[in-house]
Amino acid sequence: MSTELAIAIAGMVAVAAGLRILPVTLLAGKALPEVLLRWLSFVPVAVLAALLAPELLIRNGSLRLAPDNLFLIAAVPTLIVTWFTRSFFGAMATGMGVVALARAFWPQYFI
Amino acid sequence: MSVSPTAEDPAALSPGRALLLGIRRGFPIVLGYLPLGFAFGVLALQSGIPGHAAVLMSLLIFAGSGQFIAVSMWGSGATPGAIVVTSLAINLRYLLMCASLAPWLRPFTTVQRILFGLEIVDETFALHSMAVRHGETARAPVLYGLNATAHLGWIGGTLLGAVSGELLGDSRTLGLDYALPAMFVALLVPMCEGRLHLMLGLLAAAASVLLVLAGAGSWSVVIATVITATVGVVCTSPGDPSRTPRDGVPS
Repeated sequence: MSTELAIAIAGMVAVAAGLRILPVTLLAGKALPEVLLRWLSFVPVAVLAALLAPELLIRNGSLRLAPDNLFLIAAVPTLIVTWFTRSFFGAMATGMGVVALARAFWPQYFI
Repeated sequence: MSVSPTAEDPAALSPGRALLLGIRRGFPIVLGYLPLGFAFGVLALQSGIPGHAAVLMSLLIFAGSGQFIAVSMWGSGATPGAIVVTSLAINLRYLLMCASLAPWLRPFTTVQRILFGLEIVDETFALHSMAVRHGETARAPVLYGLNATAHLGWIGGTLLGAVSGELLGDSRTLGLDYALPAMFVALLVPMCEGRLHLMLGLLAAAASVLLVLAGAGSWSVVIATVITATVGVVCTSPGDPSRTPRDGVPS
């Protein structure tokens, strides 16, 4: 490992650890204001939706709401399987399977 | 293999059974992390990062998307400073996640809290949040069992990718690059129960997409989350059952 890589990794370790340790040590066990608790209760759904949407809707840097957007199309069966089975494995197998099959059989059609 | 952690009440379990429950809850995440970690290991090799360094990153950093972006930046010749600053932007959401779980950790000692916080990633956070919403008590064996199982899956996947990556060729053929979006779908759906949470999810999605298109890049997720949670607070009043949306959501 080069020195530069070691510095980059050490920096990232410090960042990742610091961001996680600060809130759990400073906030835990304190009686937080009701407004802050309510605000924090909306963080889970907001973070997950904010992470997922660009993955599905943005291809190569621009919005792609067309049927050739494979990641968006594959989200439909993934969503259906998740909704009806609530199965993690089912959702992932469906999504990855649809993407793999589409690329195998219609490699030209999808982006 | 249900996403919902309601099946068993951990408060009544012996420490051993509680640990098993945690491991069992972490197992579905492993199914996602093996292909994802594998893809990370392969990408690291292709970016000129030795396999042992890739495994070290998965062990010590444990930040899925942050690691992916770091190795691709390294591959395109970015400086360590630029990589660290970018990782701060991408991983800032962990600050919000750990803040959101902090009140739940009241019975824990400081060391226990730190050990718990260090293994918070999108997926472990999502499962712990569901336990909070179901009114579960925080029990150390359940929490650590879940976290450690997920972390081991991530390290194991990285190791496999770093060892066998060059033999595989293009991981896209197997749909490995869809592991992350599929996992996010599986985690997000149970969180969108109730009109308020569904609306906030859609708001966060729209805000995040607009921010990415506007060039906010790595900051998009954090900004979209802050906007959405703030709107959530404005749209509800102190007595509202924001943690149990199924019990009636204010219109």
